[in-house]
Amino acid sequence: MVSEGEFILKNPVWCPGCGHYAVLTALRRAVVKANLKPEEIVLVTGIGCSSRFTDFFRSYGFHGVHGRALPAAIGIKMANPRLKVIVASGDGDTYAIGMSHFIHAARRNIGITHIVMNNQVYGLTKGQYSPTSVRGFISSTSPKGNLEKPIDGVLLALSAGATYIARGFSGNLDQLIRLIEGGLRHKGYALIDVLSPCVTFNKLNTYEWFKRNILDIEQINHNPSNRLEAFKMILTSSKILIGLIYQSTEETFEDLMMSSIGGVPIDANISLGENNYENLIKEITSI
Amino acid sequence: MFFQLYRRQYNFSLDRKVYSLGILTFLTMGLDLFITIGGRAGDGSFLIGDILAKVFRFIGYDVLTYRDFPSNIRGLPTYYSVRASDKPIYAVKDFIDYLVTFELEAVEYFKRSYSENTVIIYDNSIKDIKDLDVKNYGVPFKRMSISSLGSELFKNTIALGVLTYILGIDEKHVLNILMETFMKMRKDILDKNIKAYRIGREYAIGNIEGREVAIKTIGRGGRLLLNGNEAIALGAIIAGCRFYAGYPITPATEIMELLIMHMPKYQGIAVQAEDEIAAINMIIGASYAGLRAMTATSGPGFSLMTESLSLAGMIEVPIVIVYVQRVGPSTGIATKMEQADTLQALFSGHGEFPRIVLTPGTVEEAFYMTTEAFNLAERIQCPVIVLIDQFIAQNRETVNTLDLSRVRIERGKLITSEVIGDYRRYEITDDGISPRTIPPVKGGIYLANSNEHDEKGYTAENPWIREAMVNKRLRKLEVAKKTLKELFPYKIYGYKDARIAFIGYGSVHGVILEVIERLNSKEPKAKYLQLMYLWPFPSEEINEFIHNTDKIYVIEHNAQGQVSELVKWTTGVGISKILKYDGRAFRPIDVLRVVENG
Repeated sequence: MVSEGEFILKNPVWCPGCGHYAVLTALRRAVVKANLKPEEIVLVTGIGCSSRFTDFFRSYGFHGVHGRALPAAIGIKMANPRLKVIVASGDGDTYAIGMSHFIHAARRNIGITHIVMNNQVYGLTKGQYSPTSVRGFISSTSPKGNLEKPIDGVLLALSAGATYIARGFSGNLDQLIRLIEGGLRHKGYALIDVLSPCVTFNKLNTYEWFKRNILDIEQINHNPSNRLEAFKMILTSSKILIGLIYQSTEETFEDLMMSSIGGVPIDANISLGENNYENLIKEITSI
Repeated sequence: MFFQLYRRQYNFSLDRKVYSLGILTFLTMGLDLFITIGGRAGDGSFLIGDILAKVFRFIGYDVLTYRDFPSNIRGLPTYYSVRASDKPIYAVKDFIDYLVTFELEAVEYFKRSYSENTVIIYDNSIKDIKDLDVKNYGVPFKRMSISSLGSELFKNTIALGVLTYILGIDEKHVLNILMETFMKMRKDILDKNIKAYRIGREYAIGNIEGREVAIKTIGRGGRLLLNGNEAIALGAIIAGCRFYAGYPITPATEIMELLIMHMPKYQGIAVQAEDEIAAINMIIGASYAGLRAMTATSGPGFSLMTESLSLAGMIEVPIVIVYVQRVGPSTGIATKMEQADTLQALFSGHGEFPRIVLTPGTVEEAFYMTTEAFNLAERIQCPVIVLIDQFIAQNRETVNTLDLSRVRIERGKLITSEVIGDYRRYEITDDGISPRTIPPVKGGIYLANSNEHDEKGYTAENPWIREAMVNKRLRKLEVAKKTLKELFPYKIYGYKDARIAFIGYGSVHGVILEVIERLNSKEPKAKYLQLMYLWPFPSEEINEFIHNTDKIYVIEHNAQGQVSELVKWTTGVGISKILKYDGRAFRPIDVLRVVENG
């Protein structure tokens, strides 16, 4: 059994009170519970406070460019589906610059555990509004209040065909560990959108605000395997739902890929002597 | 407008006066035919163009094809030219020998390309052309197709029957290729095409007096007919590329289609990404995980990729990008050739990092250089760009049998088994290249970090680490320089001591070869340096090459002379630019005219 300590590279440094501390702790405990080893995990991040994860979490790591953590993770997963690929990103990375990759990852149902630390503000660039900021939110780029409606990543994921959709809260560590562990054990794309307060730049959506405005879906009678029910819950609830909102079993991209190519790409023998290329040359040249 | 047409006619007669003698000499040297098939997209001119090319290849000739077509599926003019010769050919010919056309506007379009040897065979179903001062035959292709086969769809195969009769090509060779082409389709389509071919042939026997030429089988079969996109797709698979991600874009799409079709047979995966940004990040991810990975694109797509080109440079992940240039800026002309993205390929991307830019000049070179691109990417751990353009990508030419014994797979400092001890992915080494592990290798954990990082990949902003890392990465350029010199020792064509020097790369390679051959036919006066790679820039080679020359021409398909400026920058001497940017290939005469006018 691997211990939590094996996943500690460095002690994290964020603003004191940042929600991300709890998410990092939850991830470390979830990988232990899911029985994973540091070498078989690739943690992929983009840019933002959330993407500091790769500097603190010990495993193979890939810290790419803003908004593109998912396509890099998809390339890794397709190359070697045996790896456990985790993406840690923020609301800007996922729902603004990287939005299309998020939708396409969901509809591909590729086996990636995607943790979105959603603090409804851009922290690393010091406090601009984000696509999940509420209307009227005051920030350095919305001094008179944000004019745009916020994006609901959970609702989008549900529409796009994601097969594991959960929302956690940094103020509820035990549930967050469970939700991430569930995502790690899930076959296919798993979204865990985490309400992770930014104590420095978001004075509206604070821990106290969340405590008043969230509803734990697991405390009420909800069947997460019913997609229509999940839509209904999200659209009719006056509160922000947390917990496992939807989960289904569907073929994953990597399963379909492996059956179509007859194996795992990383296992392919590429040495010249082991391959018969004569037929290939014939096929391509007989136009 | 009228004035322009007039001027064009004037130029055309000028061409004839000055160069007709040269052409005659050319023809008497052996068989060298340039046949253009014209029509509107949907007329099937590409199909019979390909069939004709295959027939010529089969009976032993060197073949080079040239497609001039719009970015459109049906209705606009498309032209497919086939050059066939019993000696090696490298470029399009100055003048058309046979123009077969289903549309009368082609007759006007090609006015500047007629010589006294030109023969036009046009569809006179609608009307005859009067007063044409070029030898011509009107043949009712469309009418015959409708009356005998119930649809105009077969007029192209009828035209093939007429043309191959006039050329005196043995019927059995044409039938062979027709069978091979239509066998994959429904039986009645094959039958109707055979019938159409016979109708054309019978018509020619009855209505066209005598044969123009009698093309003999010269028995040099066994060679391949291939275009650059096909050569690159083949090269990638054979080099062990097992991951491809891309987004459709003319003129590079065929590479993706071929790889999606064939890579699975070798346990590889080729996918269509949601955009080019996703595509390049996917290949970076796949390469990080240990696969040889590639994408292919054109100007607009490459522009989207440039942010992540820097990422690959920073995290030292090997990738191969095939960059098929087309006419720009912006959407430009998607189906035409240009070399105006050369500087973008060389310099795009923020920050300083090593890259390699290879510039094959023929289809055959595109194959071998693609296989080598994967070795270079892994050995130097940097992005490698294979830079071609629409001309090489989409025009087929005869290629000698590909020699797989010339292909090697060298993966550089790749570690695939457990690492004992303190592993540092970005270890500062003498050559700048560090040992590279892939997940899940035990003991090999590291962070591929787009932030400046220390030897283990973890974020570092110390001035001394920053400087050491920049130096380490840039040292790899010196290795690249040395390796490229060994792999592609530069060749001088023509006479070593010639006073007129030509420099070119990519799709102008062929035309310069023909130009210097013609310039040197009387006295040795020209030489040519083909640039096989543009980055690291081959300054030493160029300086050595231009030593003791009177005149240096750099030939490019762009408007500003992008590489000309680089040559000027590296040599400090005056350079004459010969440029063409109308989207069409240089003919040898276009270059000769400039040279002969001094």
